[in-house]
Amino acid sequence: MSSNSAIRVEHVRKVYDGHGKSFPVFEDVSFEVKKGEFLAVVGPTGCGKTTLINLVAGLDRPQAGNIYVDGVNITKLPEDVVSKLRRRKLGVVFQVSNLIPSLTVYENLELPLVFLGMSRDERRRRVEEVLESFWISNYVHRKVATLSVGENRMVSYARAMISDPEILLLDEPTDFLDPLTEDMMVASFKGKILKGKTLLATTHRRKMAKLADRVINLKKKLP
Amino acid sequence: MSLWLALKRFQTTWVKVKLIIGILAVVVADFMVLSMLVQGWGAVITAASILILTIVALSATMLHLADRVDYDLGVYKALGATRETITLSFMIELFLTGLLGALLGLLVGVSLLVLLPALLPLKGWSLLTLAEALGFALLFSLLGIFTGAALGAYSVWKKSHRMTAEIFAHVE
Ligand SMILES: Nc1ncnc2c1ncn2[C@@H]1O[C@H](COP(=O)(O)OP(=O)(O)OP(=O)(O)O)[C@@H](O)[C@H]1O
Ligand SMILES: [Mg+2]
Repeated sequence: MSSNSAIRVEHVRKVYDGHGKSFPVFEDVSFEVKKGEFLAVVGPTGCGKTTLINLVAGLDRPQAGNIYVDGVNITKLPEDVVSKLRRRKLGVVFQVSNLIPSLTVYENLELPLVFLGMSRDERRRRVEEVLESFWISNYVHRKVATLSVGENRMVSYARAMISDPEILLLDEPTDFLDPLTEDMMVASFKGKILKGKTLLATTHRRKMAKLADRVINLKKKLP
Repeated sequence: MSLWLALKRFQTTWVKVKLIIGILAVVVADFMVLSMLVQGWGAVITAASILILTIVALSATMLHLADRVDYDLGVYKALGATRETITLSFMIELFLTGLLGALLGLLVGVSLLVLLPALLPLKGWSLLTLAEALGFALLFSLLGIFTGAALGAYSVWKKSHRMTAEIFAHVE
């Protein structure tokens, strides 16, 4: 495998189990994302885009196959080791918000940095940098529970970027955004914020797919 | 980092008020009975039952808190926290909560006891002095809190074993 590869998915099989039945999502998926590349994943609802993001983030395990993140095979590592790799290298924007509602925006942004063991001052510096880039300064001290859905999305995006990760995994990142904010976010993909970063994004939107260096199409597995 | 997490949750989680009140009630009851112990074998049996009841009641109350953590647990894991960090943070949080409840409970207990003799003719009956009763109540509550925090942390530890995606799939 070339050292130029940021993400490499090899012959991955994923089946969900539930109530004695099994639901296959994919039998054999393979692809690669080069460092600095922007790969968009498109496909119909239920085809497994979110599942794929979870697998690459190490939040779930495949039944077969290998997934390499920055050259490391995360399917073979203990979970805590994958967690440590994730906090250093990966930023994830989830399709369904998973900020902590009882904490403020500021505290939510701080959280990944706490896990990285950063001091309070370092954390403040990082958070302030990110606030400017993501147009969220106005509500930084509000509880996340009080945010609008679009605001929530922008904070999720900022949280994914807070530790300056090399690789970003974005699951429908522009859902819930108005066209103007969507444009701003999409522009940031090409602008200086994401310069040099590797992007793997799922999307239903043409605007984003057009921006990608490459697009792959996941087919829906028929039962 | 576990301490930071524990303190943040300590300031913000609502369930805690309920929990603290629960612990407070247990400790008050504990203390009242202890301070009214009457001489003889009955006293030993009563004290032993109180000890057991305290531990069971406090543990059950505290486990209730550890039961409602799935969502936060998933977020911490998704952001790269290790199982140790997460478990330790819940242990600290439970312990702090328990301690606060117990101290408040003892405070209320002592206040009641100062007022009560005026109303009831129990004075002079008790086997223990006020200070002794206080000491025993504190000891019993601490044992209960330790057990509760340990059991709670164990339940979090077990839960955190599941993959993050699976934890999120099962959050109500
Ligand atoms: N925990 C689970 N247990 C059982 N089946 C699941 C589970 N999670 C997802 N699935 C199923 O796996 C398939 C893929 O789900 P996934 O969420 O990856 O789809 P998706 O491509 O992200 O869809 P969308 O575009 O709607 O977000 C779906 O049919 C879904 O019902
Ligand atoms: Mg999805």
